[in-house]
Amino acid sequence: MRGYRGFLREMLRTGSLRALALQLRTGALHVAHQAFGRRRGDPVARFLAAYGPDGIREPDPAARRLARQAERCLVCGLCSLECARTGGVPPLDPRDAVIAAARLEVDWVRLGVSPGGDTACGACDACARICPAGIPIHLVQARLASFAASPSAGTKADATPAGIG
Amino acid sequence: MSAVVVGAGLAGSAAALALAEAGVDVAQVAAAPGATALSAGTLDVAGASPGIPTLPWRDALRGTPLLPRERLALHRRGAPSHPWAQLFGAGDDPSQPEREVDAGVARLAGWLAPAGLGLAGGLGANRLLATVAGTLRVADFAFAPAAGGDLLAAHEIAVVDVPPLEGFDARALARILAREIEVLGLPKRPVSVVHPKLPEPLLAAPSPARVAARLDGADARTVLAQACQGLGAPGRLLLFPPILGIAAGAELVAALEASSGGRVAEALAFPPFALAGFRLQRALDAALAAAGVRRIAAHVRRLASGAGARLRVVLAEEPASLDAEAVVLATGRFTSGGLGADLGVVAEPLLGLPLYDADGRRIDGIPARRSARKGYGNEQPLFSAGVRTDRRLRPLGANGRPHHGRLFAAGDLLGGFDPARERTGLGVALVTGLRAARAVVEALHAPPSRTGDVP
Repeated sequence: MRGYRGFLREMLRTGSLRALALQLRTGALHVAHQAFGRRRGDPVARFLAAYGPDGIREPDPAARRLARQAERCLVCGLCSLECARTGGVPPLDPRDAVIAAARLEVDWVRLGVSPGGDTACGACDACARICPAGIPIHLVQARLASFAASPSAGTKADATPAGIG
Repeated sequence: MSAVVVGAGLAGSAAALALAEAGVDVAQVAAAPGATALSAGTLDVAGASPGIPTLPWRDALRGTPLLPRERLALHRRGAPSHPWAQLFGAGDDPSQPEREVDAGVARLAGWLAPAGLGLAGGLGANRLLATVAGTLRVADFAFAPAAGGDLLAAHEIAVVDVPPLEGFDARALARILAREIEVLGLPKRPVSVVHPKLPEPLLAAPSPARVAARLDGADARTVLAQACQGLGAPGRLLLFPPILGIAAGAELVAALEASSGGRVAEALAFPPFALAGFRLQRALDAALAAAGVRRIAAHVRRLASGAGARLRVVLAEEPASLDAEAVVLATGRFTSGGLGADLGVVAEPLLGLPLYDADGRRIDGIPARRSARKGYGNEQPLFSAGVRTDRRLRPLGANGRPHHGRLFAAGDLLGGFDPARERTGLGVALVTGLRAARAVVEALHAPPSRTGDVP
């Protein structure tokens, strides 16, 4: 705010009246829009209404919680090594799954079609037990598997997570 | 007599193993594998450091070659904050560091042998190993199956192509390797790419670790050995991507060498292809289990005083706490949580111990960005931050005296050196881990004294 006031004062000082007028006009329009403008609802709701048919949904609290945990990922890859050693068959490499969960919270729903088709991992928790950051990676995987299984997901066939991680 | 070791990396594991062998009842607390599990397959004791500004292989390969033992001696004299200088005083026998390193490596090799993980090298010669990126790396010691890949001992190098492997390009590796050899002025040796005919099922998985897991099986091992028939020749090094087994590396290498007729080695790799560190961590864990070291998977909250003169390790999970007569902190640095930054201010989270950089300046309690130096490749004080200890490896408090008479520190938690820049993390970890164990045993056998314990 101080910066804006300084900006106005500077304009008055340099006598740039045209710039000042533009500023006042913009301000007035903003106030008028707030007072009399048509209410178009919550932007998130509008976004979801527009893109819901494409399979985009709002992440539920559990997904958000998992995403917060996934953000602690060190990208060390120990989960991938442990998963390979135990012979797991995950729908997505565990490290990539965590990176996806951390980065693409909202876009999770677009991961509907997993690269492994409808195969889920054995749901052991070897990856989670070795994780130095304590991320419940098996839950992230289960989450992805549930998206793959749900009929409403995966309507975008082009939205495979090939470019993730 | 009881001791608790905090940390599961090489420093903590070496300390725990040595304590168990000395008859101490030892428990190891760790929430996760140590940063050792992310190491690239070498064990080095002396690289570049503030006292030795150039990269070691430039020294080693151009002009007068510096041997590992000479680099070790330079560290001791040229870098006063370095653990080598701190451990081995100027008045000591000059051959003592070498003897301690050799003895430590021999002990480690003994611990790793049951898991079939070989360890080769020595302080008297430079070993030149290739990485998956085609760059060169001087190593003092290396773990199998990378250890056999000394380029200086090979007349000819053949990079083994495994086509669908993610992140591995045999042709690029060969090209870069040939150029590196030329740039460094090494005697010319041909570098080629060989294409073994590998069966489809072996290659179905694109990740090196998954191929390695498959190669642990006897069937896949035989198939690969057959595919490599006749690819080798005496003096020819077959350089593989990091796929040579997770558990059965030694048998696989033996089978491949027998069938191909050449020498077989793996290129050094880093996370997430760092199978080498993963193998090392697993072999250490197996040795610890065999030695009867209790492993407790828990986060450490803090250290406190226990009953009598004992130390209490307070845990975040069950059991809520452990009392011990001595504690070894081998918690590492930022990767493993031994050091942390709260709102950008660096601190040692368990005890708030003062931290020092390689120049001996205190670095805790100030915002990390204020200690940062501008410019690419500059030494960053933050990366050499760690605790300072007395010669018995007891971390010093703010008053310059040991924080506690029976609290010891080992590994990367020790400050004054930058293990990543110097590439010496594991060497310091091994020697200081064993030193800390010795100090614990001495402290436990010492008659109880009133002045011994500093609060």
